[in-house]
Amino acid sequence: MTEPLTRLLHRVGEDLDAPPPPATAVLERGRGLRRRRTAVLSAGVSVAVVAVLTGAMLLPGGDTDRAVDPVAPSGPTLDGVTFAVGNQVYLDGGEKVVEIDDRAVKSLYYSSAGVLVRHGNNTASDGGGPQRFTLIRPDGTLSPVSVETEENAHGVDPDQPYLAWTEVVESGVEVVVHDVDTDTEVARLPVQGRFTWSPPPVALDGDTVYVGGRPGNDPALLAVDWRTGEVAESDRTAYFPEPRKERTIEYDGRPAVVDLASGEVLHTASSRDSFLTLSPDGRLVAESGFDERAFEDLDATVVDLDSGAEFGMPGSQVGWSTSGQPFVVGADEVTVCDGTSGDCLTEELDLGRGQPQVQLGGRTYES
Amino acid sequence: MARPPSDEDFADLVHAAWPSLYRTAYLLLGDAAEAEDLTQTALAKTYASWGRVREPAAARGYARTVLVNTATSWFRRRSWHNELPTETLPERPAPEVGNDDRPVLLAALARLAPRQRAVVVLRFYDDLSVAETARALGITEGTVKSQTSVALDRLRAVLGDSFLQPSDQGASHD
Repeated sequence: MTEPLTRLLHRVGEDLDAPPPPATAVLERGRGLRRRRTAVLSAGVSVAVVAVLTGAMLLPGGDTDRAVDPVAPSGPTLDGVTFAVGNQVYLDGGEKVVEIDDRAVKSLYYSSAGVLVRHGNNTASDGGGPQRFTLIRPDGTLSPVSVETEENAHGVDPDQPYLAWTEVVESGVEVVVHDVDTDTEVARLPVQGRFTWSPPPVALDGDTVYVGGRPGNDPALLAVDWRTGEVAESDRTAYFPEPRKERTIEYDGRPAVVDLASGEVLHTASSRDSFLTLSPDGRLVAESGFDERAFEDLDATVVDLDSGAEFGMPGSQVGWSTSGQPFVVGADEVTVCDGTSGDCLTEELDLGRGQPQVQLGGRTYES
Repeated sequence: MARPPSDEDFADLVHAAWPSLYRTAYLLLGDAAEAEDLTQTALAKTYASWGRVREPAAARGYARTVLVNTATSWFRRRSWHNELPTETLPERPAPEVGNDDRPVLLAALARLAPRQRAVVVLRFYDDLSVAETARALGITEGTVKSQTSVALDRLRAVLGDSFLQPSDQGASHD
């Protein structure tokens, strides 16, 4: 049946004149890639040490180009790609799997102390019962966190070891900040006022806990400095606070990414029905749409908010790696893309039969 | 192999693998400059992992996998200039494939979705089995089979039924 196609492809292929193999150019590009990979892998080491190590590696090859660009894009990598199925947490795209001592993972937050796992009796946030927490440290060890909440939407800043949430008390609402590295409460601050939800949801960005949203036509966010106790009403509006590194999402008509300080609109969704997700570092946004005629999710588009460059993802639900790279998980593969170049890497994955429910890292799954 | 492969081993790989990788790249992309860039990129990425190679003979397959994965990444970029709407098929088949096969075949391949195109090239040009194609693309064998079926349907719609008929069965065979 396909014999003519095979013959035709071979005939066309054999007629092609391949240019001479540029072995030297390939070797140079390969060495460049290896240098960048070395620089990225050594990110925790001082620049001086990286330079020494890299130089030593290159000596046998006789390469005289010792320049190391520590900020050069490294290309897509599964490092830091984190997701969960049931109570199993897949680290580095599944290279390591950690089991949480609970029934199901609800969400995976990134913190400076490691991956903070919110878990409980099921994957649900609304009406999902008690919410418990475990810290997966960078070396893979587990540290239980002595926090249990219910019906709370929490905030975690990836550059800090803190978990923030609110509690309803007789006098009103309190903002709580807990150090998950040392498992100690570091702040508890009263906040006055009425809120749409009880307890009100929060987001953590630097020293600021954003509490939302105060009722009204323009539901306001409160900006609480948890170190000084200063409370201010933010100019931004939202029922649900989503600030990430000075950027947030607002839903006035079509969803849009807005600069927290200036109010500048950085990206507007293509449709009122689109769903936006900011990367933990606020650099990228993933936009997912829905085809009402086909009644199915559309593959997401990732936009670099600084350059405006965009590329497509092979799936609608986008998670973020610890380094802020977008990824999607299918039934039998995981794809991570470089947020700068749009290059993607797909690896085979065996998550069992069918399409399991996957909780993607870097998303809050709060509602 | 007792020692890690050397740069000389890698240069040998480049010389041996370059022509076939380039031709695969050309059939995937349909452009000589893009094909050369893709082949260079794939081999450079292979070199970046060269220290972990234990069996240089297997590196050729690894390079081909990298090449296909890289091509798929390029296809995903919205700016990819060869992207064509796969739904827009001509109502009538294109002219019969004749002596100048290349443009007709490349135009037909360009109408396939990237993974379908990769499946066709790997299976019918590189002569990989279903299992080998699945491993190269990181997908299941079932997906390879279904993508092959869809791709052949599309090619048949573009090139005509006779194009996919075995030579010993005649054009009238279904």
